[in-house]
Amino acid sequence: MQPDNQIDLVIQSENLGKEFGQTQAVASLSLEVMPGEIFGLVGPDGAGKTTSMRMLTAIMLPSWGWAEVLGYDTVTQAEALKAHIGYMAQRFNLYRDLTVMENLNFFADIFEVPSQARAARMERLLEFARLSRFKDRRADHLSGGMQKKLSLACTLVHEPKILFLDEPTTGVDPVSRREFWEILTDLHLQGITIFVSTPYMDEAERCSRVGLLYQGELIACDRPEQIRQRLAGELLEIQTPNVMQAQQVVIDLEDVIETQTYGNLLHVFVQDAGKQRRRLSRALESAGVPVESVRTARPRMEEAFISLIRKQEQD
Amino acid sequence: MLLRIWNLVLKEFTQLLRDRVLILFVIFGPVLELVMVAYSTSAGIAHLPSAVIDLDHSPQSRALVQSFQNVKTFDIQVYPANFNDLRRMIEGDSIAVGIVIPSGFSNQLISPASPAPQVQIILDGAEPTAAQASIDAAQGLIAAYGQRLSLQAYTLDQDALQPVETRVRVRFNESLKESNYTIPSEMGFMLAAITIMVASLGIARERELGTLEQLMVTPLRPVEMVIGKAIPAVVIGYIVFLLMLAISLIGFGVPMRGSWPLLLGLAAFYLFVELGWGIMASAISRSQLQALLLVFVFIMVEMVFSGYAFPVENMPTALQVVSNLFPIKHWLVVFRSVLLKGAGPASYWQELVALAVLGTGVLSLTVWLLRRQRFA
Repeated sequence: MQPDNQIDLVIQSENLGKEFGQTQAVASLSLEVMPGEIFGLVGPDGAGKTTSMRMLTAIMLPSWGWAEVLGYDTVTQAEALKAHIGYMAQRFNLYRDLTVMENLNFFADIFEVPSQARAARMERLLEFARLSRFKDRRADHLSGGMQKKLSLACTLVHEPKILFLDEPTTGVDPVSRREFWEILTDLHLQGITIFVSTPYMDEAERCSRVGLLYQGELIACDRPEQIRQRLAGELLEIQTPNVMQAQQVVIDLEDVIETQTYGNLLHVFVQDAGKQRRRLSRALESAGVPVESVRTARPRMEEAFISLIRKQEQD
Repeated sequence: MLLRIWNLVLKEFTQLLRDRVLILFVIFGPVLELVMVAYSTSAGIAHLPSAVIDLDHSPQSRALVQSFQNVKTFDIQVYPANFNDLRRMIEGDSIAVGIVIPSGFSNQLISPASPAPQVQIILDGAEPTAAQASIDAAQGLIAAYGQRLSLQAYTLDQDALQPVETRVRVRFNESLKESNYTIPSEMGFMLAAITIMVASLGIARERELGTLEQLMVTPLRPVEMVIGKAIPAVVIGYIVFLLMLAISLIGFGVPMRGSWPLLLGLAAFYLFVELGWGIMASAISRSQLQALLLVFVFIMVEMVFSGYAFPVENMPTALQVVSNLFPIKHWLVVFRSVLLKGAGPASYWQELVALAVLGTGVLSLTVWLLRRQRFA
């Protein structure tokens, strides 16, 4: 890596890790995030997403490794870095006893936003976060979705170059979730780099690149379609009332690469979906498992991730 | 940096003013407590129902009875005929103090060759405060009779009379007002307790509600955080201090003999030192409740070391050394000196140095702790 390229990277980390006593929260995180990307950090609960995010935002010291954000070292240049980043924690982290406007003003004060720029910027942010009508409402009287939007507005008050969002939509209703992502897309179009963690696969699909964190390790890092393509074989979706039994039957068949269950759906990865479809139905029928339907399906992120995690566990 | 501190202070006050219950608790709690303590100690003990057995029936003995009558402490109500009647009265709680003047009192008083005359005072041992006040008052008036007269104090215990060891207490205030000692101590103690409590909530509250995490990604530094959290606690403490001072001086006649600017300046200085421990508790606690409990233990220990209940000089050496870590110990010396003696800094510079060292040490340690833990 040439030195002048390093400046272009918004986030760069190598072997970044954190342990708490005996527990290793993050083993080794090596990342490169380009300007203007929406980078999604995906993984199950306890994978180390929040710890990674805290290390990158310079609020937690890593146990080993190093990271640079916007060219600042997260350990030695933490204070300088903080003026340029926005961070939204998973929990609602604003003052509940202050109003929407007071919260915004406080963060503007702390970041020393010049007063001449402030009024216009506040209006824009309130508009943007759809909170203009609730200016004087106390934060604890806002709905969960509105609180998230207020948090986002507060992290934008100093016009950061990069936004860190830790599971911003967890616990938010689907409508607010969609709205929140529309706002993120707007920000993305304005050129802000976004580093977002999420447990939701549909959100992962909306990212420019995705890193899969599992047990403190990055087991994949690529564009979403690239990750989907890593799945070996094609996907057959079998609908049956007896998924467990169906899985038992199918798993031993020749040419079946992998099976995953989703409620009353059994996803079977095979070499050639066209050929295998009939064979599978027959095998299930002869084993006495009722089959409602069998169809070829397009693999989603979710299947890809489960498959990747499984491979990881087998190694 | 100054601007960020100022903004944090403004935010703290906006939040505080919204918390009416806390304000009431913080300001009126200590004031009420002070009024109660001051009222009950300044009234003193007076008009104790008393009985006299005068076996001497001389002009000298009648003069002594008259001087007992002239003191507010005693209210001579009966003259029992014999000792058994007196005992029944004390047992029945109708009389608190019995004064017995033996026969031969006047002869012994007049002739230098005879043994020193004695007056007996019989007290209800179940009321130690009243008993002590009676001994003090009796000693005072008997001293006026000259060196030769001595007082023998007894408490009525079962059937026997138990002698009471009488001690002479040395006090600073010449009017022998208990309240001049109690009120400054109480003021110091309540002020310390309330300031530490308010200070202890500051950072712990931010951590408990998660806002500390948000503050940590801002350019706000640990030093700024500590100062920004200290200022509101000092302001609240100062308001409480002024209120309590006004009540003590105006309401209870505590004298203010020193320099006003000196007292007002030193009080603000002391508050900064005192709340240091509160902020430290706040910085290391996970929640407000945890911080409050920590501080509660600290305040209880501080009360012991304040010298309010018993003098620090009588404690074992190791404890005396430890007592220096508690700002109130130094402050009470300074406060009483300014208030009651009108003394200047020359007579308590050691205490001021101790406070300065303590304050700097504790606040620096807190900043260091905050910086080190970052996010634990």
